[in-house]
Amino acid sequence: MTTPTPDRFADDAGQGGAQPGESAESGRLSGCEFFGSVASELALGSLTGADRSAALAHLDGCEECSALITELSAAADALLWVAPEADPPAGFEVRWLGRIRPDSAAAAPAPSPAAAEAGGGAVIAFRRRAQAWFAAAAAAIVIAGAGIGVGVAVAPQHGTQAATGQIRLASLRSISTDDGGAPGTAVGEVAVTAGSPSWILMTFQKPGWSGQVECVVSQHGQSRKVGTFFLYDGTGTWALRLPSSGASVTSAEVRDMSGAVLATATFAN
Amino acid sequence: MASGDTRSDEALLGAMALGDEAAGVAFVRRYQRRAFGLALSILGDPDLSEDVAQEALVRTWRHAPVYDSRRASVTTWVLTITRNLAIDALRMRRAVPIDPDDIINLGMISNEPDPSDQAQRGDATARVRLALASVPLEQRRALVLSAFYGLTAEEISRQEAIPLGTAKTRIRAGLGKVRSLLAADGQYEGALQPPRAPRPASSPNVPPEPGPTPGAAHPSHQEHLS
Repeated sequence: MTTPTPDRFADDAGQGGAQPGESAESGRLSGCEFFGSVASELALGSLTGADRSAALAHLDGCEECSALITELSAAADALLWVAPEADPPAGFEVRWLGRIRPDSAAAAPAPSPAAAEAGGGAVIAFRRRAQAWFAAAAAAIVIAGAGIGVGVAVAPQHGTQAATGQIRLASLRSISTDDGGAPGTAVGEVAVTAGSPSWILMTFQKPGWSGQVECVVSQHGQSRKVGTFFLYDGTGTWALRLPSSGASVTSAEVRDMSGAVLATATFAN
Repeated sequence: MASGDTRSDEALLGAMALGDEAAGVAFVRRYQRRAFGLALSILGDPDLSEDVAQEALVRTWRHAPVYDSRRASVTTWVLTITRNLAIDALRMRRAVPIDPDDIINLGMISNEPDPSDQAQRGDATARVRLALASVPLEQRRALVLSAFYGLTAEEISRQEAIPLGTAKTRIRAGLGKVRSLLAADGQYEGALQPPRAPRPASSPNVPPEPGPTPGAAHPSHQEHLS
């Protein structure tokens, strides 16, 4: 058994001119000699066909050639290191998050003709808009969490992939008439996921309202405050992981800090 | 490397394997510039390159549970996946003749170490650049065509209008020289990666959904690296 040596690779035999028919020549070689003639191509992943099969078969029984191919492969890998880095387009991380979630907005199915004929188009449009908003908001939460080092605590896990497939949506409607608006006016949207963990996401918009508000959800006939958030210039978007399954949430309310209900959303069963 | 997460690559992959999306985001932040940069070097198309980099990082997420550090470093794994996807994309739209000078002219084969590279990776990249720069131009072209564009010796012989034997010799001599220089430099024991077994044949490069096979019989590392 001939031992492949570095000498075999040390000089530039190609500089002396063409070596036509080397493939045929390789075909006449055998054992370590043959392997040494094709090892670099094998390491680079460009060896194909019978030569590749023969080289791999030889590797199985030759420790010396295995050592050789290990070093050549490391050298081949190292070549990729020298490619220059470049900044990808903005939003790369968010799009990546969207892609690892099969139920994200991008994957939302188109509304069926039957649903549209039945007058469900607006509902479906709302649902798809909310799903898109949910995906974006969840992505923002994870990214923000990762950025400040608390992402593990708040990030949805793989189970969210299933949870996002069970989103329930409801329109958030105004209760107060303090600003002259009519009760029942849509002022936002709420999405609740089922599964573990469960999430509630809320967007709220009503000009003239600013300051801290709280979110109260009803489950199993009981209402409880699950968090607070701020409205800036009448707009706020907020999300929170629920302590229990969102499947049982029947309604969500936005209250001011005095406890007065500003808006409410009711979920259909 | 703009990640605020100080966990090692392996720790991030471990967390990703458990479904930790925050770890995934940190990992993406750490590798997106390298994956996108490599894809852009090969493809030259920003939109297509983003698709390739996205897909490469999605695959690292999906296959994080079966990553095996004994078979390749994390960097090697990510870059190899990116390269293979880029080559596949290139083959699908092979209308424009490729030119290794496209990559060479990007400054990757520079005698001047990149300060950011030095800071981030202990100048391992600069050492590889130096090694590659020391290879004669015709061998360097053959290496770039093979390593970055996935061309076989036969394809290189056509591309470069040289006999097949010459193409094979240039590849062999070029990679042999890089290997000798890096070995002499101690790179294999340093920042690059643990040694591994050979790459898969570059055609086809990436199956639709590769499934890394932990502990598969040598040398099926190719699935791991796809």
